[in-house]
Amino acid sequence: MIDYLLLIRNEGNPMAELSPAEMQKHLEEWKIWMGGLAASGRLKGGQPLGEPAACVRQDLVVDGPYVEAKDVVGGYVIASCESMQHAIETAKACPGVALGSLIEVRQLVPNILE
Amino acid sequence: MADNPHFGTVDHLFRHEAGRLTAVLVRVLGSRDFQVAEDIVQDTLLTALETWRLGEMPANPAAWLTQVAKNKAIDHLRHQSAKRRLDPMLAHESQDSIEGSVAAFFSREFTNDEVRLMFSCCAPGIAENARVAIILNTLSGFSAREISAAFLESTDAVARRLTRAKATIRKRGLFDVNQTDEALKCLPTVHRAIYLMFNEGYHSSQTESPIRAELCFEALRMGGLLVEQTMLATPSTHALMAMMCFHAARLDSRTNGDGELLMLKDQDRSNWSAGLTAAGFAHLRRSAQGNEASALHLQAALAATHAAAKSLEDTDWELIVSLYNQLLDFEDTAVVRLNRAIAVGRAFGPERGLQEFNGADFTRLAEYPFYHAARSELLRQAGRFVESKHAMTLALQHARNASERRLLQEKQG
Repeated sequence: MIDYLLLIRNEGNPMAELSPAEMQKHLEEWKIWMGGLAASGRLKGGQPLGEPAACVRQDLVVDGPYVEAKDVVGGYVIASCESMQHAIETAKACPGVALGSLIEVRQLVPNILE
Repeated sequence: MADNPHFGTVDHLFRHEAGRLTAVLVRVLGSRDFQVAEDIVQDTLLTALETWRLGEMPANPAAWLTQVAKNKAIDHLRHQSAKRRLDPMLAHESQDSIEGSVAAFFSREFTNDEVRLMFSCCAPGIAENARVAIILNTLSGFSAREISAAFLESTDAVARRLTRAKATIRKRGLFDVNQTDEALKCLPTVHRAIYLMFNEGYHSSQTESPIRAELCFEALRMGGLLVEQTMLATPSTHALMAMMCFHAARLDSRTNGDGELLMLKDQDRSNWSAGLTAAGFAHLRRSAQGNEASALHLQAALAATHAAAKSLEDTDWELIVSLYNQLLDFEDTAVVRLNRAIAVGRAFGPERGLQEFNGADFTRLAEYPFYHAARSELLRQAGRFVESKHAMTLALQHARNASERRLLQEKQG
């Protein structure tokens, strides 16, 4: 099993259009997805990312979570997967995808001595 | 609230908190800032969703939401006050006073705010059919889209109606429920709106919709908010609650496993919710205090008579006939007369029931399938089979959906 980082990106915020009941339903879907990962021991971490945010470079500091890219990372999940394919399947099942989120799947480079 | 029999096990945290927060924010910010209040609520729920989906739910989600909404309200007021400070003509407020007053506002009893908003939604100038929609929107967190699905109307039409109603509330300001005389004068209008909301859910022709039951339970919740205010917990309020509890107790039994409607005689009475039935009788007892008698009292008594019966045969039909007779004094409508005719048929035989149909004007029910079905049933019992068949044909012609059609066909079968 290898750890993968799933970066949950949104352009705009499709969740903002949901009614309260739909928000709760969506939250429940997330709880099922996250709960499934946790139950199989594959959930290695995960956090929402919020305000404040800044971008720092040698020549500039910008308020906010992005300089040029349009989509903002709203949170991340670290999940153990068998393979890249498995990680992609895992990301596809994330409820955010159905709502229009883009999920960047990245393998965390393992420690080769372990 | 979880152990309250009115709400079942369904948790509507987001929906109910939306209503609670809207009510308190409209008071804090003033009715002119209705839109700001709604934006803050939506923003607060969104923050919760974004935070909770990837993290832990807080132990007390309602307190979490309140805190976030309060912070957003303070931010908004600070921003406003900064804008005003730029204008030397306007007095400025210190940051401390903003935070202090918002905190004080939030610490007060919430239900009072919800009741205040509920009364404001029933103000004169807001059309009756708009009242239910605006209550559902502001206090129950239903979107225009969800309301339009429940009422079989276009989302645009509902959205326009909501906008108009909110403009009226903005113009008139919030209703002061602490003015006892005024509040009691408006109470029947509020009862009527809650009653319509319940009916829309209970008798909706759109039987497949799960929103149906939710409307009933929202109506119960609104009635429950009135009951919590000592001054508004009048005998009529209890009568309304009793009537809704008895009917809601049967909500699950009204359809079979496939979501099809079932007649009263085919319902499994053991499935009627004991908790809601008991709550119904408790409200009925409290409705009997004082001398007040209303159409609501009679409807509660009718529902109680059915709830008390072990079977259709065991039902005290003569009592039901006499209750309908009294109800006619309050509202002489074709629907009441139809129900009375059915009860007369049960109590005194089909021919007597059929006579009731001759004595009154039922033209308003000409397209109501259950009017024809009831006549057909009485005609069948009276052995007038040809006429019975004809009436059933009319009933089937007017069935409004597949579920009603199946129900009528089984009745015929």
